[in-house]
Amino acid sequence: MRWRVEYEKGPAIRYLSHLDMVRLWERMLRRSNLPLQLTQGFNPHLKISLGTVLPVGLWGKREYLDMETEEDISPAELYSRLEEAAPPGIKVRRVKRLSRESPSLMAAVNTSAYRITYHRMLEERVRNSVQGMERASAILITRPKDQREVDVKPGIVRLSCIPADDEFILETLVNTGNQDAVRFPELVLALAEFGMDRESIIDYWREANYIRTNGKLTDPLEA
Amino acid sequence: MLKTRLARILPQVSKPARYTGNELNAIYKKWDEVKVRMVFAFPDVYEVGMSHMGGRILYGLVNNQEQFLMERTFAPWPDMEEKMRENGIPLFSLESMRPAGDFDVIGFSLQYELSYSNVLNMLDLAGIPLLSRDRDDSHPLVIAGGPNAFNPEPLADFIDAFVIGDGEEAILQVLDSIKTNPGLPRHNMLEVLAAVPGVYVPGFFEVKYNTGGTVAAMNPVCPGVSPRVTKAVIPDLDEAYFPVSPVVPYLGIIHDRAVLEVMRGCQRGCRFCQAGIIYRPVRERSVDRLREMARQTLGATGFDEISLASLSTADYSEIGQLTRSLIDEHGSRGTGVALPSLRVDAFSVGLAQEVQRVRKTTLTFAPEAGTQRLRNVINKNVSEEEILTACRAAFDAGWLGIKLYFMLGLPTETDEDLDGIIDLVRKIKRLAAERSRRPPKIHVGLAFFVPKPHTPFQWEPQITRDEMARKRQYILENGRIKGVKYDFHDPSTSYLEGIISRGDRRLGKAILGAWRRGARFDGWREYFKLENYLLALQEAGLNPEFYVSRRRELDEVLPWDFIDTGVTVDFLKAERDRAYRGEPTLDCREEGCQDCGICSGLGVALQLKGGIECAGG
Repeated sequence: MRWRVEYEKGPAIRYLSHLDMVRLWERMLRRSNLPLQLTQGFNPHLKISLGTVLPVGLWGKREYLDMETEEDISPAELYSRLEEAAPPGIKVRRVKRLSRESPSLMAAVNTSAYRITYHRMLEERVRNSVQGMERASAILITRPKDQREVDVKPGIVRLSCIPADDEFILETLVNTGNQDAVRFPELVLALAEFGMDRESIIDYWREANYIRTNGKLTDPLEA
Repeated sequence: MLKTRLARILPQVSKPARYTGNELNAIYKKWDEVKVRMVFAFPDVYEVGMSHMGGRILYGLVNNQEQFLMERTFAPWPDMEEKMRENGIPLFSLESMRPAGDFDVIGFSLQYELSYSNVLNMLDLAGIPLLSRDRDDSHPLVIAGGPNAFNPEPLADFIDAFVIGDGEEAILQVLDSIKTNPGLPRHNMLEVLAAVPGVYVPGFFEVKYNTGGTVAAMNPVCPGVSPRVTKAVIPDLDEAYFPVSPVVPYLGIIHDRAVLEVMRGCQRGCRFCQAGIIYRPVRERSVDRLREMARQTLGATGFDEISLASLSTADYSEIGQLTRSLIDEHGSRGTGVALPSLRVDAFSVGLAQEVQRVRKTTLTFAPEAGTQRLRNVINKNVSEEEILTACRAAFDAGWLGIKLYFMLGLPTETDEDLDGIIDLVRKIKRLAAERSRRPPKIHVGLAFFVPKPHTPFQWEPQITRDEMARKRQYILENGRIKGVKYDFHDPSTSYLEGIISRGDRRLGKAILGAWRRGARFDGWREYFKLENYLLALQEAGLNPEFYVSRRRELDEVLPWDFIDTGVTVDFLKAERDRAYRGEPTLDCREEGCQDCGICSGLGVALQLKGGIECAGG
C-alpha cells in the first residue's frame, strides 16, 4: 500500500540536512510499529522516499514523503501512529493513499514557494526590489556550488508581497524541477542583487510544494 | 537573550545542529522545580560526546531523580567558538540554552588526555575561573570523572572534585550532598563531598617533591580527609541503572545505534591495558535483562542496530544465546546486532558471521604484537596458529578484508618483533590470496605504546619520538606487501599522551600554558600542535622526558598511588616480573583466582551470568 505523507519540518530542526531527515524518518517509522514494507534482499531497508529536499537552514510547512505499508490500514490509523512517533519538530499534517500508478514525488513536484520575512519598516525597499526583479530581463548571479554565472530569472515563477503585523513577507514561487531550477541560496543572492541583503532577513522557510502543469498548481496530495 | 543571539550566528557555522538540541528523548525539566542542577560537559564535539555510553547513563540516571536535573554541553567546534566569543555567547546547555555557569555543578567526562585543553577552553567559555582556587560561591562546582580520573593529578589545579570509578552511585551521592546542604560555603561543601566514596578533592592534598622531581609524599591537609581514595564500584549490573530511552541525535554520530552494556570489566589481563585493571571485576548483565533492555531501547529510539558493548564482548558467558535471541526477535524487521570488540579466534569469527547482515567488508583483530615472545610479555594469550585460524575462518566465510592492530614500542621490543609483525601480515596476506574470491584488503593499524597508570607497565619508559619514527620507517621499508596498507598513529600525539597520562600536578601549569597558546581539539590532527605544549612545558620549568622516557623506580611514589583501584601494587609488580620472564597469567574466570586483590579488597565478586559465580579471596 503506497502512501503520501504531508508534514512540517519545524523551525527547531531547520539545520538538519536531507540525510539527517532520511535518518529521522527511518527511526520514526521504526518506532511507529506500523506494518512497514521492507525491501527484499540480504540487507532489508524501509521503502520510503523523501521527495522534497529542503536545504540545511530552512524549515518547511508542507513537505512530503512517500512510503509503503505491507498491509492496508486506515488513513486515520496511519496518521495517529505517525503523529505519536514523531520527534520534536516534526508535525504530521495529512496522509493519503496513492494508487500504484501515481508518479513519484521526485518526478512530480516541480515548484516551491519560499517565504522570506523582513521588518515591516523595509516594505518600500522590498516592493522596489520585487519591481526591479520583475522588470529585469535577466538576473545574473554567481552560483555558489560551482561558481558559474547563471540567470535565475527563467526559474522565478511569481513574486508576491504579503504584509503581516510587524513583518513583511515576500513569497517567491520558483521552479524546482529539472529545468531552470532555482535553489534557495541562489534566490537569496538574486535578492541581494536588487538591494535586499542577507542581513535584513528575519526568517525564511518553504511554505509549500506544488506540481505545476501548464501554469496550474496542484497540491501533491491531490495529484 | 541567548537564543536570539544564537539564531543569528548558527547559519554561519558548520553543522549548526550540533548546538540546537531538541532531539527525541532529550529531557526538559523545570529549572525551578528541582534542587540541584548539573550540566554534563563532554570535552569534544557533539558527535563524539553523544556516542559515549557513560554520558547516556548519567543523563538518564540523574534526570530520573525528581530533585535533580542534568543537561548537556559539548565543546564547540573552533568556527563556533570564534562566533561565540565574537558575540559574547557563553558555553550553554542544549536543553534550556542556559549559560553553563548558571548550573550548580558542571561535570566533565575525561576519556582522553588530549581533550584536556578542551576542558579548560569550555571552562573559559563558561566564564568560570580556570583555577579551582580562584572560584567562589557564585561559581558552579567543577567535577570530573571517567577513566582518566584514575590519574587526576594533571588536572588537579582545575577540578574541584573528581569522581573515581563507577559513577552510578557516586554521582547521586554527590548531588544528594549538595541538595542537603544548600548554601554551604564552597570549602565546606568540598569537605562534605570528600567524604563520599570515590570522591577526591585535590585542593585538600599537598604534594611534596624530592630534589630529582619525583613525588616525596602526598598528604591531606584537611582534617578528616582520607589519604587514600578508593574507587567507587557497582557490585551488580542487573541492579544498576541503564538508560533504555537514550537521546536520539539527528546528526549522524560516531556510534549511531542502540548500545547495551553487556558487562563491565575484562579479566584477560593484558599488561598494557588500563581498562583491564580499573574496571575490575567482570560483572555481567543477565541475558533476560539485556533482552528486555534491547526491546525497550529499540521501541524508544527506532535505531536499526544493537551494539553489544563491553571491553571484550566475545567473553560474555552467554554471548551465543544472547546474539541468537536478539536476531530472532528483531532481525525480521531489519534490525542488526553489532559486536564491537572481538577476540582473535575462530569462535569470534563464527559469532561475527552470525550477526553479519550487510556485505562482508572487514573484520578487525588485535594481535597487538608480532612475535609469540612479545605477546607473552604483554599477556596477550593468543598463538600465531590461533591468529591464522581466525583469519582463515574469516576469509572462508567471505570477508573481503581484515584490519589488524599492533602496538609499537612495547617493553622489551626489538627489531625481531617488528619482523614478526611483517611476517605475520605476510602469512595472513598469503592465506587471504588463497582463500578470498576477490583481492583482499589488509589494513594494519599501528599505535605507539603509551604506558598507563595502574598497569604492570606503569614504571616503564615510553620510547622516544625518534625511535617511533625509526620503527615506523623500518616497517614501511621492510613490510612492503601488495594489498597491505599501514596506518600509524602520530608520534607527536602519542608523545603528548605519554607526558600527560603519567603526569603529576605540576603539569597543570603546562596544560594551562598550552591552552593560552591556542591548544584545543588536540585529539584532532588538523588542530594538534605539539609546539604549544613543548613551549608551555619549558615555561613551566618542566622537562617532558622526566614524564615519558624515564624508567621509574619500583619504590618511587607515583602521583596516582593514592588511588586504590582495588588491584594491589604487589600484583602489578608481580605481573611486571612475569612480563619480563615471558610468563602468562591466565584469566581468573577459567583458571582460578590470580590474587589481583580486587574482590577481597573492595568486597565485590566476579559475576558471570552464565551460572558460575566466583567469590574472590
